[in-house]
Amino acid sequence: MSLTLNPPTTLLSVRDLHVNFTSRWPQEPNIDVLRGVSFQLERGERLALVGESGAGKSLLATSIIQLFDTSARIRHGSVHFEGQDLTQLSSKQLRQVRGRRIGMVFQDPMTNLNPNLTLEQQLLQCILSHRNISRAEARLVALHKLRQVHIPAPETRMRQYPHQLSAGQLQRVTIAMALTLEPALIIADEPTSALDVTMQAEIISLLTHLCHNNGVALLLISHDLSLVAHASDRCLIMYAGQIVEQGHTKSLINDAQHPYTQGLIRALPQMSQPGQSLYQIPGQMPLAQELGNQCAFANRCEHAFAACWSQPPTRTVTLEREVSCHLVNPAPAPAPPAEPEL
Amino acid sequence: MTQTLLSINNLYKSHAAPNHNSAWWNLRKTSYISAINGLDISVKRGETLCVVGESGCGKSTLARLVMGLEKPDAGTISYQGEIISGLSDKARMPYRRRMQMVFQDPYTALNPRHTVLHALVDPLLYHQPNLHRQHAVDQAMAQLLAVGIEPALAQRFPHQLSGGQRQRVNIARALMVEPEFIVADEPLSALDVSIQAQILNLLAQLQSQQQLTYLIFSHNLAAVEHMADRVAVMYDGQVCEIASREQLFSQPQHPYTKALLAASPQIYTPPNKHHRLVGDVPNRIPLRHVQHGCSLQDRCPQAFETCRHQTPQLTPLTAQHAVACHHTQPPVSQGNSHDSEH
Amino acid sequence: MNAAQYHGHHIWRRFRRQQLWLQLKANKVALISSVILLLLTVTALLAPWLSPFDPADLQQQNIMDAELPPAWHEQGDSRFLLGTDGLGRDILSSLMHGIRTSLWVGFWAVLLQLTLGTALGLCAGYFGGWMDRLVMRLADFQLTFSSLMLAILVLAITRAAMGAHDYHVWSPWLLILVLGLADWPQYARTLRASVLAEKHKDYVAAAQVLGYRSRHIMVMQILPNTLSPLLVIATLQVAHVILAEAALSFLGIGMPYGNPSLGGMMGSGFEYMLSGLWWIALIPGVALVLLLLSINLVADWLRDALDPKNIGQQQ
Repeated sequence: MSLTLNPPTTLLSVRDLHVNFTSRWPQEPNIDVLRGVSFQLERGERLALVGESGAGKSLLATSIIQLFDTSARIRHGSVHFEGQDLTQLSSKQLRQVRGRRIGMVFQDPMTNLNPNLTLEQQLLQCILSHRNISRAEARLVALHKLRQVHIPAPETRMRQYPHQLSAGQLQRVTIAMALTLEPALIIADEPTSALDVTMQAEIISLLTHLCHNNGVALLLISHDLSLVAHASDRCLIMYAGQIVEQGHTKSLINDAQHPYTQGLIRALPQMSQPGQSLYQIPGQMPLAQELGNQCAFANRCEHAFAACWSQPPTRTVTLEREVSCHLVNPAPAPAPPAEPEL
Repeated sequence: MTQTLLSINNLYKSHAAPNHNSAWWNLRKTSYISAINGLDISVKRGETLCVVGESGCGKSTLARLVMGLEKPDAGTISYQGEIISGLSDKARMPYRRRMQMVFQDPYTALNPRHTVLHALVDPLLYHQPNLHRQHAVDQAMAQLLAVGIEPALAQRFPHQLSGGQRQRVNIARALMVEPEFIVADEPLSALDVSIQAQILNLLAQLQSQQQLTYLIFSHNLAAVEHMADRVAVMYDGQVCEIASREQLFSQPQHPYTKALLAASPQIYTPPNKHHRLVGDVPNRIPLRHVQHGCSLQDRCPQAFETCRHQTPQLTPLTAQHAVACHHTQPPVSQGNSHDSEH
Repeated sequence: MNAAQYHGHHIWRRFRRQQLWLQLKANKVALISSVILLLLTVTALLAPWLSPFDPADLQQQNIMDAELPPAWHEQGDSRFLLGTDGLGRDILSSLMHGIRTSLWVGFWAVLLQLTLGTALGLCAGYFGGWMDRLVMRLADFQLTFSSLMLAILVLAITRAAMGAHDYHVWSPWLLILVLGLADWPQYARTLRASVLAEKHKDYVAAAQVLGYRSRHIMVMQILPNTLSPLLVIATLQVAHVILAEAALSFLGIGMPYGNPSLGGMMGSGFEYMLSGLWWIALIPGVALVLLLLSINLVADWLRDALDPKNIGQQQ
């Protein structure tokens, strides 16, 4: 059914995804934290997901593979991956998809690896649990992947424990681990924010090159637009649980249409003269429960007008851009069934 | 004539290292990791001195040493000509009120059980027990307004605030005792991009209003370029380059500075691959032998023979610019031949 | 905004603002157990006035009333609601006084433990160095003795040394002292571990930078953040101490004869158990379980409710 909906090159298609958390207090309603997220990811594409903390980036990533904590729940929407709707799978089927078809790279490699096992044990465990090959073969695969991520002397490194490697090298190991099962998609959640500046650029370029060379699609999550600006083909800007703008990265940073994207770029320190005061987006992101029937950005937007306060903007889809803003689409017509751009 | 507020001379500090290799019965063999290696720096009244460097270069240790949270092994820290580094807690008291600190993680820097108002009023009442409570509360509310926190938030606990609000509260608390010198350890790194601009503007505004002097530790070069008057680059516990902002960003001399600048993500220019360092930050293995030569020698693509056996000294190039690198200065007598490579 | 408002975390203020009350109402288990605990405590406090008989008054005992079953039993006597024991004492009255004794011993002994353990653990964790090593070695040493064994040893020796009459006067205090001193290492160890974790957080550094003295930082900044594990241990220890007191009374070296305690009652009821007089031992046993359970459940809830992180994002 999904194959008829999506062209064959589409790897991941998220449609109108609503996720909420079960409230601790029975009298409080459950409020959606992700509020209708739709996007598509082609095979081999590098897609960046940019947003502030609390915008729902990590929740979106974990919702795709349903690796969130038990209080979160997908209320509505679908996640089609390779023709399957992941929201309909049993937890056993999901385990097959996680790791095997979708690899994850997390923020802090130190907590992502088990400190009590050597890298070899962890890599082999990861390979052998999903693939039916011998230990010796698995070891060769692991060594090969470690060489791919430029770990010097992988044979000796493999016998070491995580604390014996630097953070940058550990992050390479986790990238290698994500790649060992030859997944179709790698989700990297802030892969460099625990690393040093000089390491950041290197890890990002390693990640994007490896994905490119192996034909693996990449969903790169970051809070830093300038970090992903040169590492992604397309970019999603997320704000308060919604995607406010998406498009090709180059055109998006050169010609941002949503006031939030514009603000993010203008607020970068290099955008203003040293010593002068920076452009700042006033205020802060509203919490999910504070949002009524309005544009989520209205309280911080310098262009906000009456319509912004009375109804949420609809998505305007042009050939290569998708924006949710009343400024771009001033006459809010009844929302057409949104077709994400290709 | 600008007056020197803080001066640090030939400072050394090392920490006892957890020793993974030695057996448990070997109690006496404590090894040490040097964090600060003969550092000299001075801060002039009214300026903003930014210290940049990666994690592990000794930034946080230096901040703690300046604030008297740790005692140096050797060397002195003096404030307005008075040596404050060896003082007892009691003798240090007058300086506590003149120098304050803003921490990296605004959440852990606030006591989770104290409301915002409590956190601000507490230091006042502690130092002036006779102060009328209402008076203290009024001062706290005024300070909150000055840092842009609405009075309604005064009764909140830290976990009820956003990251930017927490950092504003931290700044307000530091300002409650009316200091003239503020040390900030990575004040932006825990904040979102759109909030970083707000805090940068706030710091600049407070500086001009209250004639504050800043010593700011950061790895965010874009922010440093925006706010610094002078910039010191730190590597392995030493200053490797110090210059005025314009000179450092337009004519960096030290290979490490160049690498840092190249690694700093820029939204419109793709990352520069020419100045990349090889390898990682040296794994902080306890000193087994005294290392000779430049501490960057293993990562520097331009390292030559002299770098292997002679430690470069910080040498002024111009009045505003000093570098510790053999490439920018003639080697001292013994290293007479540096024929090879570049 | 005025000065009175600035201590925003004050428990009573929060109760008045109805947050605690609402949370209590939402949690049925906590609500029921706090009602039970409240009832038991009030009964215990008012036992001298509420109880139909005075268990210590020999005049009110009649051996003819001995071994009467509870009132709802067909052979029961309406004067003795829960029946009588082998000496003709009213079990309800003994129970009220017994709960009083148990709560009293439990409260003071735990307060003693808590104070000692907190002070030592706080110093060990905060100052470190030789102080830490000394306290922890002392704790190890103390832990090698079972507290019950220590109590038996001390109580037996003092009983022999003092003679029966003096011992009866002093035994409640002695019991509290022994039980209170024996169990401090648990508090000290737990607290030391939490203090070590808290000590390196930035708010402690901020407090140092603001020029607070060590004592102020330890007590006002660090201690409140390490209280919740202590609270857990303390409630478990109230139960433990009450049980220990019951065990010692059961063995005959706890509370004196005229001063009924739950353990003593169970001990004396034990002999009658096999002859079918189940109520003499069972009723104090049920009361003990009820008491301990309600204390634990209420403490559990209180720990969560007092954590400021559990106040919602919106006040």
